[in-house]
Amino acid sequence: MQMPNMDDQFKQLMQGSKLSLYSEKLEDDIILKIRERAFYKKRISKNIKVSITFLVVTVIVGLIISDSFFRFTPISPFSKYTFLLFQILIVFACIFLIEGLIKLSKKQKEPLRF
Amino acid sequence: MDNQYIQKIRDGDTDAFRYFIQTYRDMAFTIAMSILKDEQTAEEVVQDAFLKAYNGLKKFNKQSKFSTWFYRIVTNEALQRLKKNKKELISYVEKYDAEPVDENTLLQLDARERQHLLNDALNLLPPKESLALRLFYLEENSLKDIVAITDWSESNVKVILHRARKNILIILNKLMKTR
Repeated sequence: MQMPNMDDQFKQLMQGSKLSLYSEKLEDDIILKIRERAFYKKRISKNIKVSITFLVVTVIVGLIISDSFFRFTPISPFSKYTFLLFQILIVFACIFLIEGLIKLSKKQKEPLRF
Repeated sequence: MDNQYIQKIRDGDTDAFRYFIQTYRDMAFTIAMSILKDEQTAEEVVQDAFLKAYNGLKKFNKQSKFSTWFYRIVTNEALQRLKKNKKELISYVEKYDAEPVDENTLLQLDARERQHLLNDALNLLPPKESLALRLFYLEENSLKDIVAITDWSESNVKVILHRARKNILIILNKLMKTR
């Protein structure tokens, strides 16, 4: 490091090097963006809750129908295919809902940007 | 003071963030300008840095200084933007035979004129050097703080500062001769 006197002179000299950001709307723009983001996050949280509810309902309904299908339907090749088709539909519905949930979670974690 | 406002924000008071914008906007802009040398891009970087800081405030450790943590965000954002834009900066290259200006002569100049001259010279310095000068002499950060902000080693900071001091005096001498 240099001598203290030289450092002081440099300090004095550098005091004029601070720049000012004159943008008047900077503060409001940032606060607005933060609020928009908070609102957006709230909406995503709500959508996630709805998606989880639908997923749970789909799984429960799927299980109940699968369990009770053969109890009330006479076994025949036709009923077997109907049952298989129904199970495939339930699986696809679950995949669709899980995919939606993953997308929503990713959106929720996205950083705040202008 | 900073910690009080951090707590307010953590409690859900969004408006409390205005305090940080008002307190740190100019220095954040000065840091961004040191690296980017372009006002518009520097302003964008400042906005992004504030938003990033707001996002990360929950994880911020109150034991450390907010300014150091925030200036690190600004520096990283500016460096990333510089890399993204791949802008070729025309910076001053040291010539050993060049003459430095006498600091006393500079201090005798009119304050406004000196300020203009100094900022023009800082704009011609390489990003690392102008950043180091402003952090050390203007913001009066310690070497440890500069290490925390820039991620350079302490010896590297000393080398950059030494080179920056020498170069800025040479640039100032040239600028004074041309005016």
